[in-house]
Amino acid sequence: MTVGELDAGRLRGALAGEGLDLETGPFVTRIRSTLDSVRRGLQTLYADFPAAEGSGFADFHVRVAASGGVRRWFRPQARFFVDGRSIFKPLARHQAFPMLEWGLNWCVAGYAHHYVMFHAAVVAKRGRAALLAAPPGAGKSTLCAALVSRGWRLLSDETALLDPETGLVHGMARPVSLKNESIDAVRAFAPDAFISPPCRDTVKGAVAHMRPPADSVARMREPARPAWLIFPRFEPGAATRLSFRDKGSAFMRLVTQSFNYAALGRTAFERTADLLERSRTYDFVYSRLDDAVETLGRIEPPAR
Amino acid sequence: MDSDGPGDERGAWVLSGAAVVRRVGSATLAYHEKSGDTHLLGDAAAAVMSRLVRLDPPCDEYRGLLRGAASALGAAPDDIDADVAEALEQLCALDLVLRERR
Repeated sequence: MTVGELDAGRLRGALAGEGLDLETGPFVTRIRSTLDSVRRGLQTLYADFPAAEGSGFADFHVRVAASGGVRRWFRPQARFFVDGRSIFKPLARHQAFPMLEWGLNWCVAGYAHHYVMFHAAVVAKRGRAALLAAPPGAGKSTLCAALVSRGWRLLSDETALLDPETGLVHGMARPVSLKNESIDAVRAFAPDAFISPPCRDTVKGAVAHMRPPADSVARMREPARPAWLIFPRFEPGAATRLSFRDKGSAFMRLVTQSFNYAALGRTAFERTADLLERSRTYDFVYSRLDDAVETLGRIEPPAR
Repeated sequence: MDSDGPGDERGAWVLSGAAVVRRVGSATLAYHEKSGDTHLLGDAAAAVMSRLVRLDPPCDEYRGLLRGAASALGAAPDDIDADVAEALEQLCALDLVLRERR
């Protein structure tokens, strides 16, 4: 069963009752909420994802709830709970769905230490993965959205999960988070993509989410072998530039984008080195999405 | 591992694999388990390191290599402490000196 196959009443009932077990790649999250904006977000953006009415094993147990007391009526707020603990400051209630998305990111970054995790978007083509590693605001989600709307498979717009046993990268194929100007840029570039109405006045500005391509969701359990490590940077008006970066500095830069490099110690060092050995490493500057997609579509993978 | 004293113990710890050295492309990286730090080594330091990690715990050749590296980089031999536990940090410092000169 998928989320989209549940009608609104049944989905509402699951979220308000035992919870909805949502499968995203290697994780199952049990979600509970009585907020309509959360239900709508799940129904539209996660329509193709497998789900069950909370009964099996779940990796994460989360709840998005309305704040109590006077905050039910005056400047209403929402709170995010993991295992019954509130982990973020309350946010304005209209931000409940983005809060769920940020909370799911938090769960993965905080608990999934059986992977070496990097703050990177991951897209794949013919089984070979490109990691787009960059700090927030560099344009990696925008580039990721553009690539997956032109045939690349979405693994993640946020977190690369490197399996230390296999060297393969796993993803979750969750919705792509777009911010501010990138929302209209992706709308113009991919007019057929479903993008949620922007949620304004968040700490990140206006935030909207792009529904992942159905094919990416159908293949979300399929890992990919890393082939390219790219450090993208959006620069207004710049010509598209793809240039080799030496592997030593690429390594040092990538580890600054890891959530758990220090926690995993030598394992992370060795596996990151393996990833670098097998990948081609680039800096990539872009401003026009069509040029960017065309350029990245031409890069060849290294020999296996 | 047996050791004759604190200095030897630390040195053995560094040389017995606690400092992991890897070549990636043309770069040499060292992971220092004690601190959890990763260092990107330059050519000179990498050449010395690649030899050091093949040596037995503290020995004259080890100390000689450190002093030779210091000399090659224009540092006074006394700038290199013979305490092998600090070898990796010293090499990284030398690497920085080398980069500045370039």
